[in-house]
Parts: sequence; structure tokens; C-alpha cells
Amino acid sequence: MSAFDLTDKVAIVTGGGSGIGEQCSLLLAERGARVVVVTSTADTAAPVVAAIRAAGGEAIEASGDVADEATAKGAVAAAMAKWGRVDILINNAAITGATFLARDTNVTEMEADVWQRTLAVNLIGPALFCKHAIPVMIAGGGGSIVMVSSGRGVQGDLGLTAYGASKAAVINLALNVATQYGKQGIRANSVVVGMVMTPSVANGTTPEMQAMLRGHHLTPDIGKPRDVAEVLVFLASDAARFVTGATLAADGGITAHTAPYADFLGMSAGDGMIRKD
Amino acid sequence: MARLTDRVAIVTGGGGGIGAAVARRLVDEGARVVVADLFEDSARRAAEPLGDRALAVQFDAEQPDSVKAMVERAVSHFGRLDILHNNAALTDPERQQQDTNAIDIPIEIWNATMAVNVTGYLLGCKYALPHMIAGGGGSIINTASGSGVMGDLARIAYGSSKGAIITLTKYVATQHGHQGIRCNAIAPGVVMTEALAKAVPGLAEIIKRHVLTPRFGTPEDIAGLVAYLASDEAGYITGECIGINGGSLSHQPHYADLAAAMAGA
Repeated sequence: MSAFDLTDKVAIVTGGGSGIGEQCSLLLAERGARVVVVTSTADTAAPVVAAIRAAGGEAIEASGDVADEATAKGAVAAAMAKWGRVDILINNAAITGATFLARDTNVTEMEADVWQRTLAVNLIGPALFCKHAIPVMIAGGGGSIVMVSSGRGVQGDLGLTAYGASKAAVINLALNVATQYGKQGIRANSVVVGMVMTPSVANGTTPEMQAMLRGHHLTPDIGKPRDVAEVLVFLASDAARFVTGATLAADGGITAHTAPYADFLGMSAGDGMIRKD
Repeated sequence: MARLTDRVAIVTGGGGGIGAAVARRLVDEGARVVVADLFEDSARRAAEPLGDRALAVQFDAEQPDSVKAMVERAVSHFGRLDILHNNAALTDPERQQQDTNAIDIPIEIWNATMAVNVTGYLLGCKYALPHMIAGGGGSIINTASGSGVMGDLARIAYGSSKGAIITLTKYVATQHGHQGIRCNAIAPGVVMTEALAKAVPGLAEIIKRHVLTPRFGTPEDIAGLVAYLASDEAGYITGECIGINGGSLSHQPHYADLAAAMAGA
């Protein structure tokens, strides 16, 4: 059996109803895992669960605010009641509402409630899912936890300060989990996600802005949710059984080059900084 | 400050803009300095204003015998060796021009870059370390670069050589730490000299967009960091690579464009 195969594994995906989380849920199921699709509202999980079942897989939904400990407890309990184990936790849920994100500004303008709510959902939520998933993972022989971080968690930017800080924090959460439970078979890693064309990004940015951001990627195009899902599912699988405490970028190389790269690309046509044959 | 009283230092590439500023600063802090450079004229020009506290020595970083002789000269002239600032790099514009990308770079340009920038640093360490250890320890400061940490469109050999220097630094720090040697790298960003602005038109405007500080870095900024790492104040810092780049590696690459878009919105 391939190390990528996830037959008989049970996975929990937070924010599993749309974008990266949706693709991750579908891909986990495709590779054989049974999936708990966690969403903030029940109606968003239903189509993903239905799609997995229609393809012959197994999935259930669990909904609730990830900042509320009852949601983590409930999702783990649902997995245990249905399948008796948890092997994989993908901590993907994050605040995405455009109105809320617009209030996540630069440091001096930020209202304290934006900080609190962002950290509650993006950091404390993942921590609570770890809290409740880890004991049953250990009881089942081990498990893999993956945090969805962001380029904004490793580099500074304008706006989205609370989001960026929360994404840095989950990297550290992964390191602590990896350290504290490694000997008991728990792996924990983070994925630094770049620009991904999720529905919320597509709605929230102009075509000009998208073109500008594309210019800073080393890949020909910006990412699709499936591109990131593939990396998350790899880390979840036994193929990554020696990978723990790692931070892996799935970002089209946006954090790999010097900042003026796109400017140089623009001027290189003129002065021959790189030869064009 | 005089944190380096009675210390003896070698600054390779000491005739260049940054190297000369480092030599000046080390002397200001009480050290005696060998200004070592491939170009004797520039080494003399940098050393002369520093009087008998500096000695100009011509050497070729590619030639083991030449590096060895330069180190021996430093020790015989000043009596000991405490600080080595490996800073010489291949700067010949004609060869730099050919340092392009993996497909186009002539292999001799790659080899020459590695010979000066990497092997040259190793040779400096190889011949300086025994004297430093005999004297009770010392500090080596290797000039790497932001180009050694992140990718860019041109200068693949330069960037790769600077990446190698960061690793060389960690090995020297590891292998000789218990003998009292500290070894650190510095990774400068663009130091916007007049010569550079002239050589690459438009570069100043581009760099200005991406540094977070209101001004460009100067050779004196680099000299301050080297002097600090050379001194006992940095006595617990070893094996590190310290960026000195106005924050240009701290932010997302689209930062400047985002700022422009927001200003326009």
C-alpha cells in the first residue's frame, strides 16, 4: 500500500466547507480517509459531505464556532462515535468575512475586539482542536496535525495585522505540539500558504490587484485550492512520517525571492539584466 | 567607543567602500588593522589616513600562498591576530556582467566567483585560525549577502557563493567554538553607493520602494555591525547570520505594490 494512501484513517478538517478546506476534505476522502467536515454553519458542510458520499466515501459534518471549545469537543466526539479514532487534524479554519477583514488594519488603527476575535478563531480554535484530538490520536497509535499558516505569518505586510500574527502563532503551536507529543507518535507541521484563488479572494480583489500579486509569484500563476490541499494531505499521510515541526511553503515561491524581483523583471527587458533569447 | 583596544584585525577587500569603512571603524575602536586587497592602490588609500595603526597588504584571495603570506604578514607586523573580516569578493564588472542565470553563465565565471568568494574565505579562516587560537581566541566575520538567502533574477554565482558562506560560517563556529573562536556572517542588502547608482540606472528607485527604513544603508552601517561582532560585547553570538538590509527581507514581496495600490485607492 502506498504511503500516500489514507484508507481507514479518520480526518478532521476545520473550515472544510469551502476553498482550501473543501478541496482538502475531498482529497482526503479520495485517498481513502473518512472525514469530519467542520464548518461554522451547518449548511456549508452539507454539499462537501454529499460530494464525498456520492463518490463512495464516508463523511460527516460538525458545525460550530471554532473559537468555542464545544465545537472541537463535538467534532472529536462525532469522529469517535462514528469511527472510533482520529488520525488527522487539518487546522484550516480562519476568519474570512470581508467586512471583518476590512477592520483588520495596521497596528495603530486596530480595534481590540478585532485582535481578540481573530486570535480566538485563528489561534485558540486550532489549539482547542489539538487539545481534544491529541489524546484520542495517541490512544489510536499516533496522528498528524497540519496548521494552515500564511506568508503573512512569516513576513510583514500592510493591513491584516491580526491575521498575520495569528498565522505566525500557529507555526509556533505546531512546534510545541511536535515537541510535546512527538514521542507519542504525534507529528505537527505548518504550511505557509501564498495567494490562492479561493472564492473569498476572488471576490475581495480586483483583477489589477490579482495581476500585481501574480507578478510576485515564481510560478506562472497563483495557486488553486487543490494545490495547497495536495501539500496538506501529503503532510497528513504516512509519506511524511519523518516530517515534524517543519514549516513548508506552498506559495508559488513568493517567500523565496528578494523583494525587488518583480521590479527587476519589469526593467530586465530594457537593460539586459537577464538575457532574453 | 574603544571596544577593540590592542586587538589586531584583518579586513580583506579592505580597499573597497565597505571594507575601508570597516577598517576605519576598527581603528577608531582601538584595533590595529591589516587592510588586505587585490588592488594595492586601494589598500594604500584606505590604510594611509589611519597612520601606523593600519598596514596595506596586497593579496589574491584565490591563491593559497598569497592568503597565507598576508596572514603571516599581519601577525609578524602587529604581533598577534584577533579579528578576521572576510569581505573580499569578485567585483570585476566585466565578469559580474556575465554572472547571469544557470543556462547562460559561463562556467569559468561560476568557478572564479566560487574561488574568490568561498574558497577565499576558507583560506582566510585556514591560515588565520591557528594564530587566533594560539592567542586565546578570536572573532571571524564573513560578509555574506541578502542574495545568499533569497533568489533573484541575475547573479546566480554570487548568490550561491553567499549562501555557501553562511554555511561555512556555521561550520567554523561549530568546529572551533570551544577553542574560543566565534564566527558569524553578516548579510547586507544593497548599500547604495554613488558608483552603484551609476552602474545600474533605476536601481536606487527600486531599492527605495523595498527598504523599510527612510534612508539607504551606508558603508558605516556595515562597519558598525562588524565592529560589534568583533568585540566582546558580542561574546555570546556565534554561528549566526545577521541581516543588515533596512528590512528588505522582512516583508512580503508585494508590499510596495500594495502600498501604491492603497495610496491610489
